[in-house]
Amino acid sequence: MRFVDPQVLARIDNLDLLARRVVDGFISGLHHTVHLGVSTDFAEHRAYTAGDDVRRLDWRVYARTDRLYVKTFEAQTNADVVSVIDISRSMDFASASVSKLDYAKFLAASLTHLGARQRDRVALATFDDDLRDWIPPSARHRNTILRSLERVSASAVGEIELPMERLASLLNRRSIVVLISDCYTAPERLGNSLGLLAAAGHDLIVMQILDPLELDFEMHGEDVLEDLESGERLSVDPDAIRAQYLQLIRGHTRALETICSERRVDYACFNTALPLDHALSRYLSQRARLARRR
Amino acid sequence: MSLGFLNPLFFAGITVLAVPVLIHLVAQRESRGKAFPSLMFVRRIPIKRTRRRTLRDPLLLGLRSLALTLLVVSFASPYWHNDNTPTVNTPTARQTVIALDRSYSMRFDGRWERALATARREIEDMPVSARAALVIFDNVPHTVAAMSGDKSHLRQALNRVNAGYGSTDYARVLAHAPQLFESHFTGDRNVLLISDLQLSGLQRNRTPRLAGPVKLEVENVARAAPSDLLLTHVQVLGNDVESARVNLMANIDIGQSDARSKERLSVRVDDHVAELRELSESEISAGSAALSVVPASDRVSRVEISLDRQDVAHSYRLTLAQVEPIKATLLTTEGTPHSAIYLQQALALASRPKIVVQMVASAALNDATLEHTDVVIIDDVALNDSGVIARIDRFVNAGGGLLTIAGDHPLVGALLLATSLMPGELGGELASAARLTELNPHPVLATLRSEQLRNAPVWRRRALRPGSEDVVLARYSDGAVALAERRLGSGTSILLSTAVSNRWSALALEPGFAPLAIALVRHLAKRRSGAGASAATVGVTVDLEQHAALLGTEALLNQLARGGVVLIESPDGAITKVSGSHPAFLPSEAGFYRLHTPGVAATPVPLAVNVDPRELQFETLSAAQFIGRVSRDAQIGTASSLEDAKRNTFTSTQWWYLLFVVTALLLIEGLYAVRLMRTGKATPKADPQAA
Repeated sequence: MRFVDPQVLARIDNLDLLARRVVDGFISGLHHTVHLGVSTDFAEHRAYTAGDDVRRLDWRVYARTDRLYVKTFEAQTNADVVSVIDISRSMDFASASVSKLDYAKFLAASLTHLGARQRDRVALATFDDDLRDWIPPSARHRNTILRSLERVSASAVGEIELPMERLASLLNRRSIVVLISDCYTAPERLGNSLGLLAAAGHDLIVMQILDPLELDFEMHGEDVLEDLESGERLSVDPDAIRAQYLQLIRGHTRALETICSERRVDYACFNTALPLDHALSRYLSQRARLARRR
Repeated sequence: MSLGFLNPLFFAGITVLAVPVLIHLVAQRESRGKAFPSLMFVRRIPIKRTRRRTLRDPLLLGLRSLALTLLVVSFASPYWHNDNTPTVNTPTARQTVIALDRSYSMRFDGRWERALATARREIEDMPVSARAALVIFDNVPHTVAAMSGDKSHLRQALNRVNAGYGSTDYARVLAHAPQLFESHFTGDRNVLLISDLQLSGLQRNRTPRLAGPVKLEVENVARAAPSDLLLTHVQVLGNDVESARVNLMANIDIGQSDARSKERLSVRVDDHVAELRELSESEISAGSAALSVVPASDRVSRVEISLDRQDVAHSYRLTLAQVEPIKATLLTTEGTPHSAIYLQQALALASRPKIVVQMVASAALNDATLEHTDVVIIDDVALNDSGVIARIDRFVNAGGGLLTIAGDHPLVGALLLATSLMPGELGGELASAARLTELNPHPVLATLRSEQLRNAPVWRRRALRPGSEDVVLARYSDGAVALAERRLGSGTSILLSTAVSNRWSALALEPGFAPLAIALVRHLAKRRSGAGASAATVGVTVDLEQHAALLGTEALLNQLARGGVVLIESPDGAITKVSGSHPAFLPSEAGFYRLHTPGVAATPVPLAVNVDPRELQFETLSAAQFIGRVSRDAQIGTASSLEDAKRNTFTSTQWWYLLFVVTALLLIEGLYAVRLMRTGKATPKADPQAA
């Protein structure tokens, strides 16, 4: 097993390449792939070549043009995979070279690639205080999503309830919804939003992205900290408040975990300092084990 | 010893200590803060989020503060001074030494007037708290007003000074001026040099040196070099015995002049115009003009040569006496007329006066011959006739000169038996070879460079034991006497203990031999013969005895020989009294001095004094060039100057050491700060999965 350092991934501009590098070699995906037959969704006409199934010849076209064409159809997919990325300003934080938003984009790209490899229909939603980008589910939207991800940047204050309501109204089919966020919101509000989506029958996954500095608060010397979203500034002595801070953030993650568990939502916390493929494979393996148990 | 500071104003820089603190406070107030994703948890912490502002690292603060303090102290130029010196806490912040050039060149083109005006302005503009001293200088600095804040005192001193005739020497005044600052004074020390900045004033052997931390300001009062011809020097070429004329060569500097003709040259002898003629174009082009004068036969003549039409008033003066050649009688052995060839050749080179050598067989020497002889020379000849010896003895005692060169012939034994003519007892030959090593400071040897004779090997020589009253002029390398002198009556006898021949020594082959032989004969003949010309230079000591001897003035010579008083009357009428065994006089102005011999009925002997020819080189420097030259050559602000050591005060190079200490402190502080930073980063990070 090779694990790629996030700082190495950060140097890869092409998200397609990045996603392939991360995902290739994974045995399990988000769900079990089941091929049920040929799809009825028409894709395009193609000139007949020897060896093609004559049953797919489009006789109507032959009658009009006197040329032989075969119809091609989209492959059958069995799930919609929707990556929902938090692009609030708090995600644009990096104590090292990889910001939380970059890490979230790597994750979304990897999941999109993984879904596409499983012939799933992939979708992308970004949100801060509202839903910003929406690329509807399609098996052909993989590249569109990757290109869109490359353009994403943090801009506004984060909000969870309104964007999730808007997203729920956009999803017509049961989908696998992967929420990628730092989850700086009250656990109850996140729980309400997740409950709304779960009620619609979606399979939910919450991936919390945190910077190592948020996790260990290893700062020294009195300093003024500025909230990236609100702009609020507080003069703090990190050495003095580290213990309380760690207690609070651990309590927060535990509360998120509890709420997710209550709503049968998968929860995982990612540290941007750890290799993405390692974290992702570890999560997917864990999810596969749970699925077998279910 | 206590500490003082030359630049205490730099202590204002101590306020820089507040700068880091202020920067810290301002920066803290205006800091954008360190970005953090969300303060939702920090905000919830109920206790005080910041500690009380206390010094977290006093050592670091101490190091930084100490470094800054030492830096300020070093720029304040600390020095130690002796507590024995007056400790008056003077409020003056500035002391100025006004150095006023009074050299001869300052007389031209209104330079002196401009210099006076500049000095006067400096005095008038002087702040109440400031003090100044006044120095006038040419080749010698002279303090006319010590350091004072009294403007009227300085004004009066300035009104008393006049331009002089001396040459310029900046090195001396730059060394002298700093001595006038008060030793306890710690403020600005300035030297204001007011001069025409003659280049020749820097071209001396001494290195210009401005002792101590002194600021040099220069005021150039020269506007342009004089454009007329200059008579820089007159050279006495020689004399024509037959016509009694003295031939002169006047050196003319055409400088930037465009004159090519109708320039007139006048020659005045004893205030009468002896010659007045136009200079030819070729003479002007060549820069020299030939002249001849006939000095009076019965006294010393005053000769003044000057260019008639010029705005630069310069004349060259000299004194001339009727010239008579020295008559030397060289005794020869019968049948060897070509003996003493080296000596003859050497004496033939003499001029002013010439030395006329007549060869006389020793047996033929009679009183008639000696009557017209100044010096008798016995160069290694046999002399056994007691009658001849007796005549020589009488000749010397009457004032004649005797030069004896010992060699193969045992003449000396006979002479010793008969008289005491020899300066010491002459013995047999010494076995070892030697070289001349020691030449005593004697008038005979004064003009010789001893190196010219020191290399000459002497293979054979005779032992010479001089008497108690004899004077040893030169010795050999083993200490034996080579040349000795004895006074006999009014005359002099000199003996050389080796012969001038290839079998005895190589003296004759050395370049110094001819000058030595000529000087010996002149020395021996000076009491009988009048000789040549004499001209002195302002600022250069005149040996009055030599001057009198050159001019052959018996009365003055006798007065000086007796140690009597000589009164010197300067051109402006001032009288200086001189006496003693070695009378010397330092002329301070150009012109004809008069040497009086009180109690002796004799005409005063004139002494011609001219300015230093270097002073007539009018090439000047700009103020910037001058300071550049002085700065390049000088050692300004050194602590170890002799002058400062005398004051027991030293302005120190300590501030350099302080800078080294500051650098070391900053290095230590940097290393300590890096160590602190590394210590602060050594905490392991939390595992998010564990969280």
